[in-house]
Amino acid sequence: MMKAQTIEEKQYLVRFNADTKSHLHVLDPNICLTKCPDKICTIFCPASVYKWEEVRMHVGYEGCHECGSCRIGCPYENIQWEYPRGGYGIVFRLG
Amino acid sequence: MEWGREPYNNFTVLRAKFDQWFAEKAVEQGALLVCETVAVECIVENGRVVGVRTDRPDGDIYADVVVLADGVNSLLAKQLGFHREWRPDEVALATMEILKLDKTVIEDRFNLEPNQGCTIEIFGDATKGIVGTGFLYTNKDTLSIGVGTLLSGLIKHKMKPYDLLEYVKNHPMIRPYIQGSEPVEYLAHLIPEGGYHSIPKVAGNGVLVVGDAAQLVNAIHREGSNMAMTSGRLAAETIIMAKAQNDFSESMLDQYRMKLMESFIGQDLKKYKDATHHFERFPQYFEQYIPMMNRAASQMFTVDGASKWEKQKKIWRDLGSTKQKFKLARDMMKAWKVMK
Ligand SMILES: Cc1cc2nc3c(=O)[nH]c(=O)nc-3n(C[C@H](O)[C@H](O)[C@H](O)COP(=O)(O)OP(=O)(O)OC[C@H]3O[C@@H](n4cnc5c(N)ncnc54)[C@H](O)[C@@H]3O)c2cc1C
Ligand code: SF4
Ligand code: SF4
Repeated sequence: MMKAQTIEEKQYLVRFNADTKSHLHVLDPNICLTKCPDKICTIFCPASVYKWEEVRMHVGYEGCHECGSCRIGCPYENIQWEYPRGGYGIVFRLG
Repeated sequence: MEWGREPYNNFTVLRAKFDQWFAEKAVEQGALLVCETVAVECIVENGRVVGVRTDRPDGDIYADVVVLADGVNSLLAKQLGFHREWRPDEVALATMEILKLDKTVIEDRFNLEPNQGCTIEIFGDATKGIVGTGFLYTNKDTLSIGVGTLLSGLIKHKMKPYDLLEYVKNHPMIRPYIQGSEPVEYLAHLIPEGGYHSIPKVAGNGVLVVGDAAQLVNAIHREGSNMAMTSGRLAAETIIMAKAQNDFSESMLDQYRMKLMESFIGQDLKKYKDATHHFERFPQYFEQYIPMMNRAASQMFTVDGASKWEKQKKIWRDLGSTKQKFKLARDMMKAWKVMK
């Protein structure tokens, strides 16, 4: 059996140097609630950073790969996206 | 086999290592390398880029020309209005894993001499009908396996990218290659795949854009690093010229765009200018035709007592009604046109 099958196991292989504040902000949770039935960022984000919690979006920014997909893929441009401050964020050990 | 001799055709690299080595080359030439620093915006004075503002205290850096090499997201070029936000069908989201595997096992399994490497491109079922491709590269004592599809495809099919990666890893065609290996890193990155039509403005007053930031990727041949490096060289040559004339205006720096378009970069991107969008717009290629070709090939090569003539007749029947066959022929012609 191969290891690292779930996203949690995959994320465990990645080194992050998380800042104390988030570089990702969902601007209006109401848009998520009323206009985005699929909560599509929770599906395509490769790090499962976004988790919908009934009426609000939990943003686990600490595990973000800084790929940019959510900024481009949110149909309502509802995500304010920046790079983490210099020295913080994902650390590539190999790839 | 000539690829196994100098000048080698291709190298597989692990970026964390390669980038350090490559940056060292610039430092050897006199560059000052500043790491762990984000460029937050370009400093613009009188309609001219004169430097960058970084997130360090007193972190403004001034220059005759700023070269934006900030990768696929290129927030800096976007701030300058060189491109709008990319659409989800202009970027592919790739996920990959580095898998640890014994050096001797890799050499045996992939039939390699020491220091030789091998790349396998995975096309078809790997992306479950979404426009995209997978890859499997050998490194010295690791493998790199990944799969990328247009972000728009993931959105449309509501597919999780890491589920697709697992699907590829467990595919019966792939599993034997990676058997016994251990994942040591997981990565996700966008690849600009808008192609020729998505190339933004690449030269302005005091500023040039290179590499992924300028959408310089040939998605069909998975070439991007070479284009990034070559565009960087063309930018440097242009700046040397500009410096000699002490003119850093857009009309001067626009020479870079011309050089870029005349080089293999512009030519190749032009060649495939409609390819990705064609396959994205008409999902039947990835959803129907590739599986159909696989089925046909599999029938032809199955040894079951039926003659090849009978097999061909059956394949022909399976293509559907005359109307469907016409549609297929038309679609194949269109595919040929966007690829030729
Ligand atoms: C999975 C995958 C497989 C690939 N395979 C191949 C292949 O086989 N062959 C090939 O030729 N190409 C391949 N490519 C494409 C290739 O990696 C890219 O085209 C190439 O790396 C582009 O180089 P670049 O320097 O323009 O951008 P990048 O390599 O993305 O570098 C941009 C850098 O700028 C930094 N940055 C961005 N914004 C800022 C800022 N504001 N301040 C400071 N720093 C910033 C980023 O952190 C990053 O380090 C692949 C890409 C992916 C994702
Ligand atoms: S994709 Fe955008 S609108 Fe939809 S849930 Fe995510 S942040 Fe909200
Ligand atoms: S940048 Fe990528 S990894 Fe980070 S939250 Fe957005 S989609 Fe997820």
